[in-house]
Amino acid sequence: MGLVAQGYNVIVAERGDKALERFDAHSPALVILDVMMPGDLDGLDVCREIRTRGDVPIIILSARSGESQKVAALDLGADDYLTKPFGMDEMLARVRAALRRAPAGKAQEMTVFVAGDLNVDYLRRVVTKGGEEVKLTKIEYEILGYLTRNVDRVITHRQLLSAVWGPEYSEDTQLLRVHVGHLRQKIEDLPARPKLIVTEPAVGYRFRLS
Amino acid sequence: MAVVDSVEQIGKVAEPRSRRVEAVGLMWSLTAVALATFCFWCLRNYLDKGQASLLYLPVVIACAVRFGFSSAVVGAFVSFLCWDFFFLQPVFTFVVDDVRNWLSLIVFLIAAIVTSRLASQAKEQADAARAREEEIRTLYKASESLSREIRADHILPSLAEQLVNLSSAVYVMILHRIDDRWDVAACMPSSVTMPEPQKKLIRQISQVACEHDQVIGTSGNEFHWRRAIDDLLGPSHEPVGLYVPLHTEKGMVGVLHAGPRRGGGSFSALEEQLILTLSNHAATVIARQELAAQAAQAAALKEADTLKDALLSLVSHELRSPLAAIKVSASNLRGADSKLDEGLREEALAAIDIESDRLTRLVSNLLDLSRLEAGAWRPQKDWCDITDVVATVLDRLEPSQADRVQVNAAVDLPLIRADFVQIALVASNLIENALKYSTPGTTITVTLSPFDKIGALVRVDNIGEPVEGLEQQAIFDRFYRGKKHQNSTVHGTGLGLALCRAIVIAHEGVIFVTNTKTGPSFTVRLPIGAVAK
Repeated sequence: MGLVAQGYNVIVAERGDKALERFDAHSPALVILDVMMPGDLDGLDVCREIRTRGDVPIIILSARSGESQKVAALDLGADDYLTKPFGMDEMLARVRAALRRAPAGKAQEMTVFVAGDLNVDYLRRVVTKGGEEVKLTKIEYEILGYLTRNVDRVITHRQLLSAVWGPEYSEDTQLLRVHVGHLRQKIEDLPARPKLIVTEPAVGYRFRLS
Repeated sequence: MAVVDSVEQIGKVAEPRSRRVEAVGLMWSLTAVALATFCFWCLRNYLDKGQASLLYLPVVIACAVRFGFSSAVVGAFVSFLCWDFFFLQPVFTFVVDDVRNWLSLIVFLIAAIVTSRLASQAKEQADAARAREEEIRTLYKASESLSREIRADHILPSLAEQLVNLSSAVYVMILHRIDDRWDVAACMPSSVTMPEPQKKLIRQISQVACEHDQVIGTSGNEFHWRRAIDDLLGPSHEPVGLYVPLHTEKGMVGVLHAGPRRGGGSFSALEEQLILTLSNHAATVIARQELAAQAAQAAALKEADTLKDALLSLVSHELRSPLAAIKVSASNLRGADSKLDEGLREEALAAIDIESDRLTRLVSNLLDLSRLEAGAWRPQKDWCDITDVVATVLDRLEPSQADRVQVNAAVDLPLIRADFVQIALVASNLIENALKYSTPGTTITVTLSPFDKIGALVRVDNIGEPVEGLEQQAIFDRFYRGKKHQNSTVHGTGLGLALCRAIVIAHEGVIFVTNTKTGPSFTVRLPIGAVAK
């Protein structure tokens, strides 16, 4: 309802198989998916199927108790999630962010990333804050690089661990917490109140632009 | 009544036993007399034939003391004949010449019989006293070890165990009858395993015992039960053991069943007495258990009632007032569209927004709490940085509110294993409470520090009215609201702190409130959880 009011064209499917059918028929620009969908195909199956067909942004809806499903969907390649109940403003903001990110897609070959006074130069592998260089360890740089390349997108612990340390470390959240803590000390204005690298409870991290 | 029965039984049971003993006594007294005769024969040249009757007297008395009156009488008579036959002239005949010898023989017989009577009576009394002492000691031992058992569910097994130890029953079972169901309340020794048909049989016989209110298996009232059991099992059946119905003032509550005797045969009078007495014990214990269960149920009902009342008042106030506000705002927006200016419209929309948020929070708090208390929301533990948890909480607050919170985080704060979402809920409840109840405009301090290398400490201090001593426990109870706030304009449901406590307990942590000079201080202590990998 809120989406229609904002001028989006919405196609609704009540069940997993219908969703895929309509996805193929209409090629939507964005998919909002409830992981608790009834039917033989649940939200996770649909998410997996859609990912095989293309790079369209997917936003997951889940209940508060559905943490593990949420994480599984994000690991499968969903872009963002919303926990029920949520406000329409929040949903619209997420939709806008996801659509903004979409056109660049995988082809996004940035050389420099800028967020406020933080500047990441991917070619020279140099990070500056307020004009001064920030000395990062290799691991910290890798974390920052991965998060900034996926700006405003939820990155699960598993994704980040696999990308930075390798798949065999994908369960070692303790490692991740420590290094993210150090990274925050170096790039956040107030490390105790991070504004850039935001924690998504029980899910992962997000590099927030706004 | 069972006891009266049993007293009658003792006499009857005693008969076959004592007959056996008597036969043995008879043999012994004959042997003793024969031996004495042989000795006297060897010494016949030195013995005075007239006085010799006295010589047999000690032997006869000894027989009386050892084997009872009847064997002593037989002994006396045999002695009388032996003396006559071997020592009185003419020897080797029963003829007695001398009248004096006749006299001494008769006197001997009378003396022997009278003294044996006295001696055997004394012995019987001593035996009875010893048996009584034994019985009392056994009962004392049994009741002593029973009274040492404090927990009700241990008493019946311990009672059964006592009976197995003190009697010669193969096993002892206490069956509790609840409506028409038979529950085995205790079965000792615990190694006993029973096939289902046997269990069924035990239940059937127990049923018979209860229906007829008869002790089954004692020899005393065999008359009453023999036919019923024969009908049930056929004429040649295995020994069934003992079944004692258990009475309380409410009627039959069960049956104490002692298995057949080890090595066959029937139980001794003492054993039967013991079983019957301990059955009375068992009945009392079961009656007590039933009373305790009733009391517990009543208490649970009462608590449920209190909770229901609290929930009702919560629903009537905390749910209805936002609903009313939403309803009014929505009606205004719909009905009198044209009359509302832009400001009023905004106000109505804002009210709907705020009030529905409040409702949402209330309902999710209620659900979270009931899921936690039902054990349905187990913490998904992972490594957590408490600083991160608090930062996430502050991030979700309105900026103007978040700016009132000052976080002091120790540098060496350990990571702890906890459920990030749940701990965040604790932190947000504590911080939101502090914001809500503190003096407006003052700063809330959140202190994060390591705790003795085994955990982390979260302290939320605010400036405001202290929490009174009596309330320091109560504020963590469901639906409890501080006295000062019960009628105030600050909204609350009495759920937040209850939720905090449930989560902290699920994390094996501690939560408590103290007062500083300036206001209340809430502390949460969380263990690191697992040993670091």
